[in-house]
Amino acid sequence: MGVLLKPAALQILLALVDGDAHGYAILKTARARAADQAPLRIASFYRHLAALIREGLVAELARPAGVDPRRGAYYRLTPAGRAVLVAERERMAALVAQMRSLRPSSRKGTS
Amino acid sequence: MSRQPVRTTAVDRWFALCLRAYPKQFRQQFGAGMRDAFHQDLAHARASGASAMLWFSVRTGLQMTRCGLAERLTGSASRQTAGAALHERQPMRAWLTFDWRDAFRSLRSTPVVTVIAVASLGLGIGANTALFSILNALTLKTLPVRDPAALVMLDGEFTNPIWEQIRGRQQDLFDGACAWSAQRFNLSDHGETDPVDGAYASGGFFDVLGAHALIGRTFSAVDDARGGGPDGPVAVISYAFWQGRFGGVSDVLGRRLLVERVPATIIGVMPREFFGPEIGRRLDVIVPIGTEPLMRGSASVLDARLNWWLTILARLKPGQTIAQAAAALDAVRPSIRAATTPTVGPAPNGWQYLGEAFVLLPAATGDSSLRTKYQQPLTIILAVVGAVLLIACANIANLLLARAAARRRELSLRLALGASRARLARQLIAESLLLSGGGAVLGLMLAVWGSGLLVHAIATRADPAAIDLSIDWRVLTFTAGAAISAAMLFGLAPVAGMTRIGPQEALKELGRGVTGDRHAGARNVLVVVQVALSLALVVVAGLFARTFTALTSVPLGFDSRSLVTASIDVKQSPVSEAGRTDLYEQLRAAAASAPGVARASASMITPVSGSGWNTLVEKPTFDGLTRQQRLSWVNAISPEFFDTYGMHIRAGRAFNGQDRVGAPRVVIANESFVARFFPNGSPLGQTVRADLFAAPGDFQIVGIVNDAVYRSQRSGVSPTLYVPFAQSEHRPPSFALTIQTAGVPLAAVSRTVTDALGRVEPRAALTFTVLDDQVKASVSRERLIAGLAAFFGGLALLLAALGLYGVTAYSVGRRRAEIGIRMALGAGAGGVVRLVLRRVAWLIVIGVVLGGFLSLWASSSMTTLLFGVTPRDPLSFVFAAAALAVAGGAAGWLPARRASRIDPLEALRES
Repeated sequence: MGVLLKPAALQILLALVDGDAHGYAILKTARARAADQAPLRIASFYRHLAALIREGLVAELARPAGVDPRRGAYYRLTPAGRAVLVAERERMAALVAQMRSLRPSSRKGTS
Repeated sequence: MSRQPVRTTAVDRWFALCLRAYPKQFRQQFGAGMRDAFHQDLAHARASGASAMLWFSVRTGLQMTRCGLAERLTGSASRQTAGAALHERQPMRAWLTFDWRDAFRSLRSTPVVTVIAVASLGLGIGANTALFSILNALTLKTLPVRDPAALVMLDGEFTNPIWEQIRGRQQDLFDGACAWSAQRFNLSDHGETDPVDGAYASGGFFDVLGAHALIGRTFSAVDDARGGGPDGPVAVISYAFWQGRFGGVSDVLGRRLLVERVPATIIGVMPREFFGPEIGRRLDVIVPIGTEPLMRGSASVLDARLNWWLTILARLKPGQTIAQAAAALDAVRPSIRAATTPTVGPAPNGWQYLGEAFVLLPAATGDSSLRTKYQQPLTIILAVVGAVLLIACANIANLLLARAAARRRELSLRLALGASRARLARQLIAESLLLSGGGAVLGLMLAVWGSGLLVHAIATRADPAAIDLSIDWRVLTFTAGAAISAAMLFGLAPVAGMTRIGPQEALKELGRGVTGDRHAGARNVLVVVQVALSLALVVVAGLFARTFTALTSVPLGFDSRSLVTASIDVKQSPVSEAGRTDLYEQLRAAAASAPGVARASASMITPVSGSGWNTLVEKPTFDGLTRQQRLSWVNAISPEFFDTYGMHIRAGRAFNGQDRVGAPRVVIANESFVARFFPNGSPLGQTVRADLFAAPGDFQIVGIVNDAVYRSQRSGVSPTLYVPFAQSEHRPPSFALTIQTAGVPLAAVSRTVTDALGRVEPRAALTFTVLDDQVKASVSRERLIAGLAAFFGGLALLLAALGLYGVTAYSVGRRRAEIGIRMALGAGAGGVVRLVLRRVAWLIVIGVVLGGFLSLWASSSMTTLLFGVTPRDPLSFVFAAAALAVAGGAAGWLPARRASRIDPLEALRES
C-alpha cells in the first residue's frame, strides 16, 4: 500500500498540479478546495510544506523576475510528488472499489 | 497587489515575535512567504472589522507559537525517515508532560487565584517589557549597519568647508568618512508643504555605513557633485516611503520626486530595516550634499564658513583605536583651520576658531535627540513599573501562601502515600513557573501593543519618533529574566512552607486550630512592602501631576485661542533678499484679506515654538548684572502682532506703518525687560543698544507691552524686545504668519489662505500649525510622564488594596472560631470590626512610614524633571498617604463587616 498522505499535504500537492505558485496562492487554492474540512492555517501550512520539501515531493524555485519580492519563494511539484499523487489516487480508487460492495447500512444495528 | 501597512505596526512586530518560535532555518526559508500570507489573511479579516483582525492576529500568533515549537521538537528529528513527519506524531518528550500536567491541573482547580496571578503578572511584566523595549531601541541596540562598533562620530556639528577638508583626507585618517544633515524636505509642488524626514548626505554615506540598496543602487561620490552628478540630482528613498508613497510598485526606479521643488531621480530603495544613523528618525528621502545649492538656491550654505550643520561619521581602520584616529585628525587640524577660517563677519571676542582638538565619540548606537529627551524619564518610569512588578509578586506570593495553607491536607496526604518531598517541591516550582510563564506570554503581548502605543504618544509632528521596536534577544532575555525572578520571588515562599508539613498531619483533623497561622508573619511583611512601594509610586505620580498642572497653568500672556500659524518659506522665489520686506508685507496683507481670517500678522519667531533668538544688551549697562542676565529675547514683528495675539500695550505706543528702514529705529520692551533694565525710572524714550536683527546700534524704546511666554512654558517669561519687522535688516528666507481665524476651522482657513498667498507668490511653501496644538505639544513629555506615572500609581494602589483585602479576608476566615467565641461572650459587631481594622491600620501605618522614607529618597533623584514643585512637596505626600489609607481602609472594611456578621453558634459548630 502506498504512502498515506495527510489531507492537508494532499491538498498542497493537488494545488501544485496546475503549475508553480507562491505560498499564499497554494494556501488559497487548498482552502478553496477543502472548504468543507477544517480550514488550513498559515502556521501549520508551512510546516506541511516544509515536510513535503524534505520528502522531495515539492521543490523550491528561485523567484521569477518581475514578481513582488514580498511574495516569498515559488514552489513546484517534483516528479516524485506527482508519482505520490498518482499512487494516492490508485490507493483511493482501490478503496472506493472495495466500498462499492458495501450495502446501505441498516439502522437496526445501532443500540 | 495588496498594500502593506506603511509603518512597522504592532501587528508586524507581533508577527515577527511569533515567527521566532520556529527554528532559524525554517524562518529563513519560509519567513517571507508566511509574512505575505499573514498580511493577505489579515487584509481579509479587515473586511469584517477591527475585532476580527485582532482575533485573527492573536489566534494565528498562538498557532504559530505552537507549530513553531512543535517544529523545533519534531521537525529536525524526523528528517531521517521518509514519511515520518507526514503521518506520525512523535510523542512529546516525557519531561514536558510530567510535572507540568499535574501543575497545570492544580492551577486549573483554583481558577480565580490563577487568573488574578497571571493577569497581575502579565500587567507587571508587560509594562516592564514595553518600557525596556523602548529603552533598548533608544540606547542599547546598535545601528543596523556593517560592523557598527568601528563607527565613530565627531563631537558637534561642522561647516561644509571643514567637511570638504576632512573628505579630502578620509583615506589617510580613517577607513572612510561621511557627513550628513537631517532635514525636513518639502515634497509639494506648490502651496502648502508636504514635509518628509530626509537628509543631505555625502557620497560616501552608504559606503561608510555599509548599507546596500534593496533595489536599484545607493549614490556615491560621483553623484555628490555640486549641482548634481552625471545623472543629475538623485535621491534614495526608504522602504516605508516606497510602500507609502508609491504603493511598493516595482518600477519606482527612475521616477521623478520633487524635493524642495527640484525634480530628483529615484535611484534606489533601502531595505526595510535601514533608517539612518540617528535613532528615532527615519530618513525617508536622502539626497547628496552636492544638490543642496539647487534646493536652497541663494540660501545655500555649502561655502558658508559659519554655518555648522553637518554631522561627521567615520569608520576606523581595522586595529585603529579611537585615540589613534583622534590624534591623526588633530595632526591635520592646523591645515584644516587655515583652509576654512571665516573671512567675513565679526569674530566675537574670545572665540577661537577650531582652537580645541576634535573629539571622537563611539557611534555604534548612533546619534539620537529622542534619546537625550526621553532617556531619563523613561528610566524613572521603568523603575516605577519595576516597583509595580514587585508589588504584583508580593501579591502573588500572598495568594500562593494562602493557597498552600489550604492545600496542607492534600500535600501531607501525598507525603503519607509515599511521594517524596522533592517531588512535591518540583510540582510547586512547576506551578510557579507556569504562572510566571503565563504572565510572561501575556506580558509580551501587552508589551508589543503597549510599546507601540507609547511611541505613538511620544511622537509629535516635528519628531515622528521612528524607532525599531522589534523584539530582539535583549528584550526576550529581559522578559524571561523578569518572569523567572518573579517566579523565584513568589514561588519560594510556599515551597519553604511545605518543608514543615509532615505526613502525620493528614491523619489529624485539620482546621481545629483557633488562631494558628504560621504564615501570618510572612504575609504581613509582604503587605507592608506593598503599601510602602505603592506609597512611593503615588507620591511620584503626584509630583509629576503637579508638575504638569503647574506647567499648563503658566500664563501665556497672550490668547492662543483661534490662532493659526503658518511658516512661510520663499527660498524658491526669485525675489532678492532686499525685496523680501515688501514681499512679506504683501503676503501678510493677502492673508489678512482672505475669507475666514480676522487678523494676520508677521513675525520672525513664532511664540512657544521652542525656537528663539537672543541678544546681549550692551546698553543700558549695570554693574550688578551678569552676562547671562543681560541676555534678552528678540522678535521682529509687524504692527498687527500685538492685536492678533491679544497682548496689551501698557505704556507708549505700538508699531505703525511709519516704522520702516530709514525712520528712527524703535523698539518695544516687555515688562520683564523693564523690571530688569529700568528698575528705577520710566524707560520710554530711553535707548537700548543691542544687535536687533540689524547693525548694532541704538534703539529708542517707544512702548511697553505685557509679558508673554517666549520659547516654552517651562522656560517661562523672560525679558523680551520687539522690533518692527520692516526695520529689520536681517531678512531670512522664511517667516511666521499668525492668523486669527473668524471662528472657522483650520482646514477651511488653510485652504483660503493658501489660495490668497499663492496669488502673490506661487513658489512660497506653507506649513500650518494650530497654535493651541503647539502649546500642548510643548508639554507633551510632561503629559506623557504624568499620565504613565498616574496609571501605574493607580495600578500599584489597586494591587496593594487587593493584597490587604486578601490578607484580611484570609485571616478573618482563619479566625472565625475565635471571633465566634468573642461574640458568644458578648462582643458587639462594632467591636469585631474594630478588632479586624486595628490590624489593617497597623499594617498601613508601618507601610506608609517606610514608604515615606522610600519616597523621599526616590523623589530627590528626579528634581530636574519637576517644575513648580519641590521633591518634598507636602501636598503630594499627604495625598498619597490619604489615598493609601482610604484604599486600605476599604480593603479592610469588607472582610471586617463580614466578620461582624458571623453567627457565633455556626462558627463554633464548624470548628
